[in-house]
Amino acid sequence: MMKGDQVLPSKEANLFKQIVKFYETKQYKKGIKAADQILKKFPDHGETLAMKGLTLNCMEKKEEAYEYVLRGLKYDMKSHVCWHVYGLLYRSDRDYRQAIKCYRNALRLDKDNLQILRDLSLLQIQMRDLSGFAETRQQLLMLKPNNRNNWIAFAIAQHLHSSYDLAGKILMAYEGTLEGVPVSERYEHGEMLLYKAMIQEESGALNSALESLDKGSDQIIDVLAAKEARGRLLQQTGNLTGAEAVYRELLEMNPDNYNYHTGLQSSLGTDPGSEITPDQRATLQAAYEDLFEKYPKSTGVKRIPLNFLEGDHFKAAVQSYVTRFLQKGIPSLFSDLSSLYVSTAKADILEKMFEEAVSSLPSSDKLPWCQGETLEEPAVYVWALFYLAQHYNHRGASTKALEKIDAAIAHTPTIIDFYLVKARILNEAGDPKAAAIVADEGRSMDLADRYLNSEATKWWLQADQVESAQDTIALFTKDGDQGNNLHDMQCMWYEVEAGNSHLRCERFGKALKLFKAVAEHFADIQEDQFDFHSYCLRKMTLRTYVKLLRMEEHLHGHRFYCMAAFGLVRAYIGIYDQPIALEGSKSAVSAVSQRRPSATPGSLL
Amino acid sequence: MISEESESGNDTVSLVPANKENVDTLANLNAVLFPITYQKKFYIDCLACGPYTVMAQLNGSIVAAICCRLETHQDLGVRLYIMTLGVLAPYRRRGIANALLGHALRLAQQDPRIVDTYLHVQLGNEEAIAFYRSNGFELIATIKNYYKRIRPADCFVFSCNLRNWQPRNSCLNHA
Repeated sequence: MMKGDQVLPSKEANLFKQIVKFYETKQYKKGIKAADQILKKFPDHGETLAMKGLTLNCMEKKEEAYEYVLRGLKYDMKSHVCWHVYGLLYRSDRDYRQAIKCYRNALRLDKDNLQILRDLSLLQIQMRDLSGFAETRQQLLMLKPNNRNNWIAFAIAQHLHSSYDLAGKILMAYEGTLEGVPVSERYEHGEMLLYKAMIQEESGALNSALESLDKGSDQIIDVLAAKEARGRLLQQTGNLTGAEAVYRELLEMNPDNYNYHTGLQSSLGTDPGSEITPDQRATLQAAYEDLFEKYPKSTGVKRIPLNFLEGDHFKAAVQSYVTRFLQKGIPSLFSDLSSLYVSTAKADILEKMFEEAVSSLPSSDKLPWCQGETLEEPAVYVWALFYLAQHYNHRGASTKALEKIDAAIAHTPTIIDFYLVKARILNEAGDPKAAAIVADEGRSMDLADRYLNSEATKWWLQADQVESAQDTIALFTKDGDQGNNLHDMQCMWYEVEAGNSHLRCERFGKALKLFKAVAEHFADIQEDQFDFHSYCLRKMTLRTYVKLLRMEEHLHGHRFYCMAAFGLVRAYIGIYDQPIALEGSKSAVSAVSQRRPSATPGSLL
Repeated sequence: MISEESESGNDTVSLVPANKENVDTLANLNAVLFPITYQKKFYIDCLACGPYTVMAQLNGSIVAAICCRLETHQDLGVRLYIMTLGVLAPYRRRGIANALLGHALRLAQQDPRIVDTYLHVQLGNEEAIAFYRSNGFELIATIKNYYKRIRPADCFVFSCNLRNWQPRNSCLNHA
């Protein structure tokens, strides 16, 4: 391990081993002590200096750490340990590019060092250096072909590199080396088989994928995932009858999974995304009448036909659908149906239906479309009013919406959902202040409800009452230390809303701070994937791992990130446009933030 | 928290004890039910006296409430005073008030310190008078000019001896 003139006598060599051990077991003080003992005799020993630096880094003494590591490196440029340590230092600072350089130097000196190779591969996948990653994993596999993880990781590397064929072949070669699967590893093996099918599916080798699933059917533990994959594959190979059978089996297991419904509809020859012909509609209608017989309790089976039915069929279906929601007083009815409003015809039918219900219920206690003698609860009337309020708000008729929601509140003033909807209507009608007051009234009716608290906070921010918002949200954060707590919880909706409010009031410095906080969260999320590179491999959750990597690659397309990014740009422009306000003041932030709110608020996004 | 629950036909009535988190709902309800706006002190008394003050929930929405407090009378001992009892108009005539009153009286019966319960009814509130009579309450006094801001200003005092009180059938089952 030691080179040339830097070899330590055996006593010190043992001490050095202890430093490494102390570092690994986080006994940093002892590590420093041992290092100092060596350095007393050999003040120029590079590796000891480097290890001392690494230990200091863990004791939050960053500057000293770099000093020691660099000195160590100076005395022993030919030591892979020093380079490795230097790499670790950069890695802990999240400077992965520099870290990779250091690791490469270390490997030049000790090219088969497994630990350094493994560390390097983690950095490469984190940085998405895919060809580098594939190279390193190949080297690791050649050095240690009896390790399962090395096979799998090499296959992943090829998969990510879009070398599907090679990836599949690696997994098959690995399977070939197996002599039976121990019972304790059955799950891992099943996951590997599913992952193989996933690679084949993505490469377009659909039939091979199906074959893999069939062959592995008694070894795959995650039966549901295998079945879902089968349905998808049969669908894509054009075997619609086969796909239909699989989706029917899946629906038998869970008739409310919308993915299975989409699959079934496609296998019945319709594309759920596009227009359907009258023939297709009739097929679907018959299919869903069937499903309803089988699964009368499934909400999905009743809800989905509302998407494709038209005219009188739609009317009859939606009438029976909403009845239960009204009778049970389920507040989410409107948000459930709101996707139907792309069709004006359906929206008109709903409007007429609910208007009729609202006018007949008070006198007759009956829903106009319900036959029979049963009388409805008075609450049915109020829930119908509640629906109409949201309906009119959705259609832009604020006055009517307010009328309906006020009637509902007068009828039963204790239902808190009404206040939240009233707040929304008021805000959309252009009175955010009134909205906030109404939402806060709702909040005060149940102080133990975090959702109400967040809603009230949101409306305070919309009304640019940042202080009220802060006081409100603080009710649910720990110890009133709300700023830090919200940041630690990555509470982005609040940061974005508050940032926008500061923007509207031209407090650009404060806005900047909040938007930057959001950007930091995304950096953290990206950083957080680091641990999964080794964890997922060990646990063999390969399909999920690949999905995670892909999610991270598109992380910055997230709505919150985009909102924060737009906000950041606006805040910077705002600060740039107000140079006069900054003159003669110590801090740009405080000078800008003291400006009075602008007279013309309005959405900036 | 739901303390008692029952289902009769389509109705599910449950009782929700008043606490400091939901006391504004109670205040909101009372503001609609009664011509008097009660002050903070009223609700502090309610909460201080434990589980007597409850709201009734019908199919998930709160529609009624009873507010009580305990008082110490120097001769009689501890008395349960029913401050308010009301049901939102659309939800009346289905035994909810009966269930609320039953809940409070049953609790009071279990406490040996409490000797009786009493309340004030505004003169002319025939519905309420009939309701309390049918629940075993008796008229014991009339007070002139009891109310300051509403007319008629006089009220009756009704009382019920808890030792003899029998619960009527209510929409809450106690199996």
